[in-house]
Amino acid sequence: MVLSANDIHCSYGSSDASIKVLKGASISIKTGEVVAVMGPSGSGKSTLLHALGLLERPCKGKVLICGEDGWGLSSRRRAELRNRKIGFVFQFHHLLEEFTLKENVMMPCLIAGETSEEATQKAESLLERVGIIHRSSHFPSTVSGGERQRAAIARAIIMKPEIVLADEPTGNLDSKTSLEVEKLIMELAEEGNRSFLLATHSHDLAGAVHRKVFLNSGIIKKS
Amino acid sequence: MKQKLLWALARRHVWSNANSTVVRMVSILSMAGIAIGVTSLIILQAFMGGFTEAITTGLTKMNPPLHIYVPGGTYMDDFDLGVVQSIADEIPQISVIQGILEKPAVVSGAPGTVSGAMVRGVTGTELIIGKDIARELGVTAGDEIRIASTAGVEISGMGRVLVDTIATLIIDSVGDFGIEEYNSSLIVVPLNTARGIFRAPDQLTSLGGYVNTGEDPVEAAELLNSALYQEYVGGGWPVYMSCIPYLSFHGNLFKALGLERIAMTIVLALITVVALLNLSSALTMIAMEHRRDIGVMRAMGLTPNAVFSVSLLRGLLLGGTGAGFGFIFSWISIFVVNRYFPIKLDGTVYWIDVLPGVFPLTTALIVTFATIFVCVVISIFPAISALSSSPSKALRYE
Ligand SMILES: Nc1ncnc2c1ncn2[C@@H]1O[C@H](COP(=O)(O)OP(=O)(O)O)[C@@H](O)[C@H]1O
Ligand SMILES: [Mg+2]
Repeated sequence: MVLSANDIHCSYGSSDASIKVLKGASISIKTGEVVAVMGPSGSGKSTLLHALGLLERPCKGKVLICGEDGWGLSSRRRAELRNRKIGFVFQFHHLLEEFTLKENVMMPCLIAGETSEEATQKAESLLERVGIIHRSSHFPSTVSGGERQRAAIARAIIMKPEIVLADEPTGNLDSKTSLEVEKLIMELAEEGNRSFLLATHSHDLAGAVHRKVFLNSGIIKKS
Repeated sequence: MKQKLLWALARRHVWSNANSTVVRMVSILSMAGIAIGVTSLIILQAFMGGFTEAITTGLTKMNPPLHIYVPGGTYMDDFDLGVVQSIADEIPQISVIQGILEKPAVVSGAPGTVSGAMVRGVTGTELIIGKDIARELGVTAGDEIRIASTAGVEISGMGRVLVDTIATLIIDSVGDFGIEEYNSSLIVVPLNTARGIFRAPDQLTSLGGYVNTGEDPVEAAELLNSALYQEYVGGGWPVYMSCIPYLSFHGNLFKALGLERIAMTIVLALITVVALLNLSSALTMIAMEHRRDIGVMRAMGLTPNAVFSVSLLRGLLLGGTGAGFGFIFSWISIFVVNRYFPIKLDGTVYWIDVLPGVFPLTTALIVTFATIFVCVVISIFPAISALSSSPSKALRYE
């Protein structure tokens, strides 16, 4: 298992007025598997992905990334795990505005301590692969939404992570661009034998995945 | 490598063309504030220090550092000089003791000119006349002047002025004595010439002592003074001669200057404090603008320590650039003012007629680095709040 989470509980707010968003969600993903978490807006998809991606500690439950208990590690080791094993794609591209697309894509490598030559080389070949090499020295604010999301996807996979967590990756794109980005994600999963967990409420995106699960009333149900 | 990344992040956060105008504005203003604070502190020190230094050099140039005198104004003579000399021989800090005869006189130069002057006789000098009095008398090196001792002036019943000695002398050189008062009234002549003018064959008005290079005149003065005291009290006589460091004649002036300097330093330091407060709000704002970016970086594996460092580096960059500019700008201002726009003073009031700015290197470095240090300290607070904010929350919304 690349990722497995058992009995995840998450809630927001103070103890007396808290909203329980996840009430024992469990999920496991095999190598190379592309899984879609479906659920209406507000059902807790983002909350789940943040818990699985070691960004927000769940109230209860374990998250195993390649067998390692992510929330049991020191914050330093956890950061390293996020850097090497997990890739993130967000609904909004969340590229760094002050850096060019290429620099954005290089960022995880630089965080890992690679030289800028290595990082540049990797970033360029990935930009080529996702089809925006001609935009590599542009700043995010000067390219289209689809191009930004492609750059964000390239950034998510540059460290060859075991799993990519994508939170509504096409949620902010028009339908034509959405289709292209969906196709790209499926291709990348295929090529790298890489696992993807996609949160979405779109049935179009969910159509192509290997497996769908539903998030409902804070727990995950198989299709 | 990682260090380079942190610098790059901090640098682009505070300064990048892709930044919002607000962030750039805030960055510029906070740097400008720091630069102004540092510049004004350094410039103040330059001119206050320059003034004190010019006066001190002026005073020490024309006066021996040790002043030996008879309280009450009684005259001394060559015997007293001999006594002091033999006592001073025992004090290793003191090199030479010299006799001085200084009295007012009336001088005239070119036809029709006349002026009051102080004539100072010391051994081993040529005749040097202050540049301003030389101009007033219309004379220069090689010209003749006539000096009349006012000691011989008497107003008779008929109202006539009798001047009993008039010496005619040749000027060897015109001197710049550093202080306006000396330039406009002092004539230095050989001791024997002065004794001739004032008809005082072995009289002296005071003694001057010199210290060996590197010795503290205040300490030497104390040593000599207590040796003189021992000499008289030990011999059963009342105390006759005393010694003080020359500059302590002007002790009140230097105290006043020092006090003024402290007061103005405090005022300008407050300007710098305001600039630092401004920087702290700028840093908070920059941190808020980049909360999401930091969340993204955390998601990509940036450690909390690195997040902390980036926040500190922002402060270091803004503070360092501001303070660095302040340092350079103050140096340039002082240079330009000295060179092209010298500050004119009324010499009769301030003793010197141009206020010199002396770049205070040590002080400037201290001010600059202290400011940078405080900038980093100030950025600790936004850094802590950056650590405590959850990356998850920052990432949720656009
Ligand atoms: N920081 C927060 N404080 C309080 N409630 C929150 C917070 N973040 C999310 N929620 C609530 O948690 C629920 C799940 O949100 P989210 O995980 O974003 O759902 P989804 O991604 O499926 O739209 C929503 O009802 C939302 O209002
Ligand atoms: Mg969501």
